[in-house]
This record gives sequence, structure tokens and C-alpha cells, in this order.
Amino acid sequence: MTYVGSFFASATLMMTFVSHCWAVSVPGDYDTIQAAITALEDDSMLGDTINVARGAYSENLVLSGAVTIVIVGEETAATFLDAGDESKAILSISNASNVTVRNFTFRTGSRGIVLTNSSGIIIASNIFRLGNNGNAISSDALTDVNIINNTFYDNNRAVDRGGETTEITNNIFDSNNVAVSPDTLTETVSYNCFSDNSDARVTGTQAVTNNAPLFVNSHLGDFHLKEKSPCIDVGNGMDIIDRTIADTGAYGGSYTSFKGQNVAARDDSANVGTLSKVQNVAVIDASNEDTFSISVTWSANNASLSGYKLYYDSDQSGPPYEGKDASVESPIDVDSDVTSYTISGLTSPSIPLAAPIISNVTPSKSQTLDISWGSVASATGYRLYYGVDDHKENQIDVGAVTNYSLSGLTNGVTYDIAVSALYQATYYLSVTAYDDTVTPNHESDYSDEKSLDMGDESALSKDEGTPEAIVPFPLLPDEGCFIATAAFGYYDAPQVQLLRNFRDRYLLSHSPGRWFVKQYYTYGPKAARYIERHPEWKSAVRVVLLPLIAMAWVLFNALWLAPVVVVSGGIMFGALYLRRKKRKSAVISHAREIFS
Amino acid sequence: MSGFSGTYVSCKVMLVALLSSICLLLPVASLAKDESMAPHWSFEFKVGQFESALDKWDTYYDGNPSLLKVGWSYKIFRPLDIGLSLGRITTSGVGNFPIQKSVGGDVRFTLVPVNISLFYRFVFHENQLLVPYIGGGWTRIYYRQETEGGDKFEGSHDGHHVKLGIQILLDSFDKRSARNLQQKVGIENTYLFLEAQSIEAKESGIDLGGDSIFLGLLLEY
Repeated sequence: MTYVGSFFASATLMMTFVSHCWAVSVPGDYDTIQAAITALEDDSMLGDTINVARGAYSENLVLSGAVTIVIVGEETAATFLDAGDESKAILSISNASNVTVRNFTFRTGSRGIVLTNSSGIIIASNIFRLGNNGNAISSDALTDVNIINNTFYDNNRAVDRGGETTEITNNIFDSNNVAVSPDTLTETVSYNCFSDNSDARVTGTQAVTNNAPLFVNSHLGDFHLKEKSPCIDVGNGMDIIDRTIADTGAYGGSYTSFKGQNVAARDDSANVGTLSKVQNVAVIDASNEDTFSISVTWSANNASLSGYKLYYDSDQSGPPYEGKDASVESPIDVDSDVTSYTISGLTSPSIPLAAPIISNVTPSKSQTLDISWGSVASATGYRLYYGVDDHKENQIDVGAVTNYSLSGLTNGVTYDIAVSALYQATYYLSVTAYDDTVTPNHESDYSDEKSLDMGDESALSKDEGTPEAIVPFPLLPDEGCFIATAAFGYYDAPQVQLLRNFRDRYLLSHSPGRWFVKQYYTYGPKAARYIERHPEWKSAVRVVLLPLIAMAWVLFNALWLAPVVVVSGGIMFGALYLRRKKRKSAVISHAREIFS
Repeated sequence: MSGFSGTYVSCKVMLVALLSSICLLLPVASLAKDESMAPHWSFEFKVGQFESALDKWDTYYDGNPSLLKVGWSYKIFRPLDIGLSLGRITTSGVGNFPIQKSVGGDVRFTLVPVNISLFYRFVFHENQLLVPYIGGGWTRIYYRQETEGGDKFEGSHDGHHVKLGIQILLDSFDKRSARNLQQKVGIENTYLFLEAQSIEAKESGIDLGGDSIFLGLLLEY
């Protein structure tokens, strides 16, 4: 009994321990986050972590007196917290200790998180974008809170704190009215990025200021950082993703939900609309005059929508398309009943370019010319023209290189070649459909991107060249025997080889033989093609060729037989002649006897 | 390059070497074998360097290519062999662009010489340490030229060849191995040999032949 009792005691202890490592899920174990918080506050045996799945949650969460609770969203970019009652905070924490809130996007509401008389609070890897009337985080002087790796975008006040016990590290503050207040407290603010805030108030130490953080697309809620963002690798600590110096913002540091995929933080999960992607975007015209313009069309999106947004940018493919050089900045709003637009006033810089000097046009292999030219200062690329009658028959933009191998030409034909230098900008275009009748506004995915090169071109530098077949050294014939090959089935047939040798040795050594070979090469291929198409003739041709092959064999392999054959033939013909003559004499004698 | 003048020089040098080593041709009586055991066949493998008889070879091809050959021969009687050998020479280079009158493009040139030879070996005893030999015969060189553009030129030239060389009997240096080879494999004699060869295969004024120096191994069985 003692052992059994010990076993159950141990099992109970183990279950207690294990239960402390367990987590509850929303939705799943509980329908709402508040229900999960309440359950954990009431029964610590349930565990200490609330895992919140992707989705939008409209609640006013209240956490009071709890010890050690972690509330974690599945993915910052797709786990949204909205205020159920906008007059109240989305999350109120009071008299609590050891509470972590991370990986959420706080959206609608007048207040995001309100902290009162709490300690050990961590608010990490969240996005706060509450709008001009929303205050993201407020804490009183009695609260000990660590605000780390959050992105505050487009809030009234990002962080309003009551004392130095609020530590603010590795955050990005962009486009807020007030970033960190009050300005009487300057300690414990470090390694943050500040940009485009109406009043940053306190930037602290190790700050990056007045440089745009280069979000992937803040307009669509994607707050990942682009490659050249000044907010990368400037934080305190280490990124868990790439083990380098921590990035600032919600996707850097050690609490991020970012797994390395550049997922767009779009509001689709809010289920506010399902606008489909705009199709058939095309550039129908482009003017390359003093100022450039590009005319774009697309297919109408039949859904109920407020209009289209036409995005453009130069020399930067993909979102966020932040073109500014046209008369209207990207994105350009277009009415819902219009499916075309001309972007005018594009002002790619114009630089006078010298014509490149062609230094070499030489054949490099069959049907190919190698062309090289001198580089031109400021050129972004080169255009190669070529043609038989006019160099403008064909053109290729070859990129920023100074040599090109032009293949697919006709040997022996002289081509006109010309090269120009280009100074061009590449414009990238995309269109979306949007609906601003819902809150938050909905916008479709970007259409397939279209690109267009526009800019200046220098004068042409001209030359000519003739592609040729390579003639190997020494100049040897390709020995073919068309008819015999067709008749015997393959080029290397011994009989064909024999005839080939006969041609080379005995026919090409004198002019009548060369004349015969010339005639053969003129008409032989036609005969060979006929035999190929009519295989029933093969046997007959073989029989015809047989004496020739035999003769060739004798000449090459048993020359001593030749005189024997000649002598034998002579003897045979002589014998026949004598026999015939004898018979004729006999007939004449017989006739004389009859008539005498 | 003059193929035949070079060959004659090589021949003179070889002849002097042969004459001066006549004294080494004397058999070693104590090692004498039974004449009835004289082998009838031989197989040889040799590697060497080929120097083309074509004047402008160096303009188009990179140096003198190596040449591999194998051959078999039958001993009509002890000193006189008739043999067949097959070789292969492959090299890469450039071709011509006749209109531009320039050199360029990649060309691969392969020669396959086939020799039928009759050669006399100055062998007077089965254990003779040094065996000079001289011979010659009919040659056909098959050629193939392939250009970078995909053109291919194939054919053959007929001609003749002469060769001379000297064989060193290896059996004297390792009698145990020689005996093992003889008993277990049937190889009677093993020679290391040095050979000079000259081929002329000229048709239409183009000689595909040239001079070669070989080092090889010959097995008699």
C-alpha cells in the first residue's frame, strides 16, 4: 500500500508539473480570449499560456491580479485585436505580475493596452495601428513594463508612460502624432527607430531617427522591413531568425512570430471583402518625349468597389511601388468606372550620351558574329541593331555589357550592325481594386506586374560583318557517297567505303574522273533521296553497283588479280572470237558445198 | 615542319645506336631457352608523341598531340613479323574564316592511323637482351574534323609507313616473374621498346602523316 500510495503521489505531482507546462487555445479550448484569461486566473492548474489562433478578435480584455500568463498570437501579421467597445481599452492589465503579450496586431480602439500597478510585464512583437485617435500603450508610474520590438504606426500616442520603470527598446515609431511621452522621462529608451512622427518627444539613446523604416507595404499593413531598411541590425540583442544583431520592429528580436517568410499583413482575415485581383493590366502606349508618360489599361473588376489604385515605381520591382516622379504620386486613385489611365509627367533624368564605338565585328563560329564596343559613361545598357538591308530590321537590348555574340545568322551574308547606348529607367506597374465603404478598407491583391523601360538613347555606331562557317585545317573533304549510302543503308558500310576510296584514288586523279564526280555530286543526292523514298529499288541499285564494287575491291585489295582478270578476259574474248570465226568459216564452207 | 627530313635524321640516329649496340646482341649462353618454345604472336601497347607533317599545324593546333597505339603481330618465322596496329590522335584547335581571312572558332581533329606492317627483328637467340627491328608497310589514316558550328568532315587517306626501334628483354632483369608469366599466362617474352615511326599519307597535296616516337611494352606468346 505504501508503494501504491507513493506512486499516486508521484503521478499527481508529475501531472501538476505537466499541467503547468500546458497551454490553452483560442478558439478551441475557449471561444474568446477573455474566457481563457478568466479560466487561467481561476485555475492555475490549466497552465500559463494562451495561444490565440490567426483571426480577428473584438474584445475588451481585462487581466487583473494574475500571475504568470503569456498571451501569444499565432502570427503578428494575422492575429488582430479590436476593441469590442471602442471607449474601453483592448487590453487592461492591473495588479498583475509576469504577464507577456506578444504577436498581435492592435487595430481599432481608442486605447490599446492600459497598464496599472503591475510588474514583470512584457509587450513584445506587436503592431499597434489604432489611427489618429488611438493611444497604443499607457502605463502608470507603478508599473514595471518592458516594451520591446513593437511597431507603432499611425497612432495618436504610441507610448505614454508614468515612470522610468517602463523600458522601451527595439521598437519602430512611424507616422504617430506622439511617439514616446512624457518628455521629462528620458532614461530607459534605447535602440528605437523613429520616422515621420509629428512629435517624437523622446528618442533616447542609440536611436535611428528621420529615416523611413522601409516597410514592405504599410498601406496594406505589411510591416516587414525591406532589405535596405535602416532599422535592420540596429537593435539591442539578437534576432532569433538569423542570429544577427536584432532588427527593430515587430519582426525582429527574440519574440517574433516571423518564420522567415515575407507574409503580407493584409486585413483579409477580417473578412471585410473579397475583391479579386485586377486582370489584364497592359501598357498600351508610352511617350518618350521631354517628359515621359505611360498609358495603362486593365480589365474591369465586376465586384462592388470604390475604385482602383494604380501603383508605379522606377527601378524597384514589387511592392510597395513608391513612385514619386510623375505628376501624381503612387498609388494613383482611379474611379471605379474607369479602366485606363495615363501616368504623365514622369521625369526620368536625361543625360546626353556619346555613341559607343564598335571595336570588333568578327565571326566566332558558324552563323555567329562576336561584336564588341567601348563603354559609354552613364549608360545603363546598350541596344544592338542588325539587318541585311538595314540595321533597323532587328534590335536587341543586350543590357550593361560591351560585347555580344549574335547568333542565328546566315553564313556568307553581310549584316549591317549598329550599337547605341541607353540611359533608361525601368518602370514597374500594378493595379489593385479597393473598397473604402468598409472599415477597415479592403484592397485586392496586386495585379501581375508590368514593366517598361523608358529613357534616352545615344546616336548609333555602325559597322558590318559576315558570319562564316568554320573551315578546319587542313581543308579535307567530307567523303560521302550518296547513292551507295542510300542503297546499303549506312554511311560506313564497307561497300560504301570501298567506293569512296575508289572515287578518291582513281576518279579524282584525272579530269574525266573529276567531271564524273562533279556530275555525281550534282545529281547523286536526288537519286539518293529517291532511293530512300522507294526502298524497293535498293536491291536493284546494289546489283548495279556490284561490278563496280568488285572492281574497286580488286584494285584496292588484290591488285595482282587485275592483270590476271585482264589476261583471262582477253583470253576468253579471244577464244570466243576464234570460236565464232571458226563457226562462221564452217557455215561458209557448208554453204559453198551446198551451192557448188 | 618537314616530316621526312626529320624522319631521316631520326633514322640515322637510330641506326648509329643500333650498330653500336650490336655487341649487346650476343646471346647469353647460360640463359638459353629451347628454340622450339619460340613464340608466334605478340601484342604491343605504346604511347608516344605525334609531330604532324603539315606545315601550318602549329598555327591551328596546340603543339604535338599524344598518340596511343595497340598492335598485334604474327611471326611468319622467328625474325619476321606481320602486324596490324591501330592508333588514335585527338587534338583541339582553331579553324579559318576564309572571308574575313581570320583564324577562330573551335575545331576538334581526330586521326586514327591503321598500319599493316612487315618488320624484321634482329633476334638471333631467345634470350637476346637487345633486339633491333626495322619495318614498314601500308597505312590508312581515318580523319574526323568537327567544328564548333556542328560541321563534320570525315574521310581517310592512304599511305605508307616505316619504323625502326629497339626492344629490351625484361625477362633478364626479373627471371622469377618471367618464369611465372610463362608458366601461368603463357607469355614467353616481355620487352620494353623504343620506336621511331614515320607515316606518309598524302592525297590531294595534304599529308596527314607525320613522325612519332613511342615507348611501349611488347608481350610475346
